[in-house]
Amino acid sequence: MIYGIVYCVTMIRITNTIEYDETRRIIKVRKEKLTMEDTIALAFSRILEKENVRYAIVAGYVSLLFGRSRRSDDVDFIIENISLGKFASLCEKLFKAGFKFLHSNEKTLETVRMAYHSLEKGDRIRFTFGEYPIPNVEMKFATTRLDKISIEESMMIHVNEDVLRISPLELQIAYKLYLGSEKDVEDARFLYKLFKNILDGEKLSKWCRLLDVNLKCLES
Amino acid sequence: MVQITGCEPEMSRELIEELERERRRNFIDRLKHVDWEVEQILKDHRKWFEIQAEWSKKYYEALYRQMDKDPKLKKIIIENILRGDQSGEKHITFK
Repeated sequence: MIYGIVYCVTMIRITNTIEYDETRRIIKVRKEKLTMEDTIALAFSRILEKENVRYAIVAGYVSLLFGRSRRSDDVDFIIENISLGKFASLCEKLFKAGFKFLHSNEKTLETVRMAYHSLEKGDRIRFTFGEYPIPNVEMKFATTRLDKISIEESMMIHVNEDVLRISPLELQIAYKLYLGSEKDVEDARFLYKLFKNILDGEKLSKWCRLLDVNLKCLES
Repeated sequence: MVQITGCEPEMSRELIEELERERRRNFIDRLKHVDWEVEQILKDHRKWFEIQAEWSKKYYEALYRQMDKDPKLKKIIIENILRGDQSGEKHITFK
């Protein structure tokens, strides 16, 4: 006799290009044309996925990905702390795919080592894609507890045939309210209104409580 | 012509209050714009994505043309980003 697990997949339609797989907590997005920010985010994620480096995309690009009508100079990636060897191997793949450091045209082991030390110190490094400096990828190691939670509880986004992982929407909304600039509050409101039906209310309240922000400005 | 007269601390407080009211109003308008964006997206996200991609393409094509025409611009942008990173502030380019 063969025993198997049968998953009951519940798909929720959010818009005519976005569906939410409630069981696996995956958002599926279909985009016929990509923005420059999409192109660079997908190219970078593809390599992180292939190299088994855990990551989460945070900040502005999360709302841009779903259609917010503004642009961003960078796509912010938080990655798990990896060894120098693994980082060097990651850089090799990134260089091959057309990425380079923003701060240096060199692709030597020495430059890679310097970049690694910056990450270890908690600094961010940037990669450009192609010959122009923007948009670029801003990358940092997970240093804070929120960085680590963003990675551990990241949401998987299927964009056409590719995969991206973003920090949980509930955390992103609360965090943006915490940052508090007009742009951040607008982004929070955008995510909240668009995904209202699929947000985990308890998680959102928990993050708002922990970050001492309230949802009032999103509701009115 | 608007006269700015009267006792200075009082005048300063009034001017700041006026500015704050104006800022608040602009911000509320921007939040309404976000609601409008979401409404449009819920109506036809496919079309919205198309417009977004087209707009992004045009923006970057124009910017890259400028950079090609004036290589100094590219250098200035890179320096600006790196300076921002060192100071811990976000850089500002052409938002």
